[in-house]
Amino acid sequence: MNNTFTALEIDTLQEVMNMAFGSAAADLAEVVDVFVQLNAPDVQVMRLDDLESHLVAQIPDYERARVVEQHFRGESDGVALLVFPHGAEHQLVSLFQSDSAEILESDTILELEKEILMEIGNILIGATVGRLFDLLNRRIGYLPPRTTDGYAVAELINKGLFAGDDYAITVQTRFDFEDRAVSGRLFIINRQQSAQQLKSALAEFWSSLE
Amino acid sequence: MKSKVLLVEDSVSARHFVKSCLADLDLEVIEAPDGRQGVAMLSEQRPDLVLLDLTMPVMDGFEALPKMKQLAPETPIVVLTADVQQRTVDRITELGADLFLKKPPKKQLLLEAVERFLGK
Amino acid sequence: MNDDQVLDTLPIGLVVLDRSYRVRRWNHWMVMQSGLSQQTVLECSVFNYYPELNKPSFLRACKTVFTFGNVVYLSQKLHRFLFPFELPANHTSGLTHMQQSCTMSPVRGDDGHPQQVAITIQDVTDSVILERRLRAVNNIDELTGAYNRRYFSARLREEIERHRRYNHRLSLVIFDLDHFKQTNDSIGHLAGDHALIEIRKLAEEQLRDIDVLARFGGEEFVFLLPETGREAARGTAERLRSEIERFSLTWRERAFRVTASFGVAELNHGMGGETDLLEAADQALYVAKQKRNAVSVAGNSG
Repeated sequence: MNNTFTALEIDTLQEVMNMAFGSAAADLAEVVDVFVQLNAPDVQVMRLDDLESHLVAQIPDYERARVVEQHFRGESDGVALLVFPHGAEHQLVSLFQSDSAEILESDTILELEKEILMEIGNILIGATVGRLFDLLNRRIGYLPPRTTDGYAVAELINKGLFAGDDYAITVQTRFDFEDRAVSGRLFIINRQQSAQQLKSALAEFWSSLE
Repeated sequence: MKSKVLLVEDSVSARHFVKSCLADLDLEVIEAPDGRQGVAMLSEQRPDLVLLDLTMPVMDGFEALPKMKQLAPETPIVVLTADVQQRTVDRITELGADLFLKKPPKKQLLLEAVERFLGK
Repeated sequence: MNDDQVLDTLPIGLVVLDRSYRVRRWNHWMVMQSGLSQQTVLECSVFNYYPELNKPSFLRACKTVFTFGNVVYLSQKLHRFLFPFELPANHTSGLTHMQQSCTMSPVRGDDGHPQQVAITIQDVTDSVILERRLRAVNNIDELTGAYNRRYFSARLREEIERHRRYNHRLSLVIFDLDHFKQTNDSIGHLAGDHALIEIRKLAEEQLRDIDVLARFGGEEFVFLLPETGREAARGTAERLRSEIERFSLTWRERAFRVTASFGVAELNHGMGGETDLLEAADQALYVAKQKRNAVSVAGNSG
């Protein structure tokens, strides 16, 4: 099976991603009630084997980075990874403050921050990945999100659910919430078996607008 | 004389889509892949209408828009953007955009906008 | 076959709301827990009966479902519960409400857009109680009831990170009972155990709720004082030292006294992490031990 992408397919993917992120920003602003700037995403397609070294190069303190991992299934099959640098959750928490987050003595605050990060991740992934597949006219469903760290992602890549020749679409963007610059990066790993699905979705995209 | 439309858009496939939409309209479409080249083409070729993307490398639409308005205040500019947050819309309006279209634009809406500004 | 009948067999709550938050479904479990029949709530705004739901986190979750069409998970850890169902007054857990783990999913209309939100409510009270018990067993020193070393180490790491981030002060005190071996040998090990329990109580009386006291080893305790500089920490240590000195212990009608030595250290920028802070306090303790029944502060000469 041919799972490499042509230049035109990647160009379309980049454009669809731009559009997905643009409208996600508008929707996010409505949901969280703050102005959100999603910078133009940089899209790359790479073999999964090359992803880890890419992540290590791109993300400072990669092993301790906070990751929200959410698998999706359906007309496309893979996992979305939302990577925040270590400590970024503290900046996000005040924006997404939960009215019911009273702290009980048995819970440590870090655990709650993890929970909050998971909720934020769920929203951001839903907004961006959801919009992407909406635009591509493909239906997907999500499994519950979980938080891990860069180390666990390396494990997932190295001996997890994916094969070395599965490909990863990496989408890098910075999320700016009001005056708080929070660098988040989104990575979408697609299973090889859904490569053809994605290619045909890209092929149909422009004609669907006519 | 054919009307001339300047399309400033970094994505090859998006440019291809817009051109194919406009194919029926007997127009000349000239293309620029970023804001800087778009500004240069505007001053050299004096198009009748500009279709401007916002997110582009080198020079984005936010930067190109006021430069274009300064060079050719009479030329209508239609901004194509997926980001329709009020704040973004306010900003491009303030910078002189005559209309914005939500991306991806349906062919019909795109045609209506172009025809409106070219008086067809 | 009737769908409602099938849904009524679920041992979880199922509520469906439309975009105006009006109730469109209210399954049997919800009827039993709320005491409100399906006819009562149907077509009414859920806020009529549960005004508590009209809060940012719930409204945001609904918006997320309607706008993005994704599933939202409301974890028990963060939200405790969505619908405030009171537990019976004789519930021994100390919890006042049923703990819930909830999901909110879109129900799409014919146009593919989410028109309603389906909320599931799962009662996780029992597992929360179990988790708390396990956590307590895992974190508490069996003899004294203070926290154990494992828990303390984890908290220490967290607190250091937190205090660095907000640039707040943080102090740590290690103390150790003087001549404890002699007490054990002369009066007996059970007397020694009794002394440790009493000392822990004395220490708790001197500490605030946010402070963390742990038994660190045999006759060694440690406490962490958030938002506290070393002079204030020395004050706390000094008060405890004098309380211990004045306290009369009795074991099998035999009165005895103990004293303790204290090492105090405050987190500073030169320190790499928890090991450095512990080491500084430990060195101060070593200095205090030379005199016994004394308090010594790291970084203060002499």
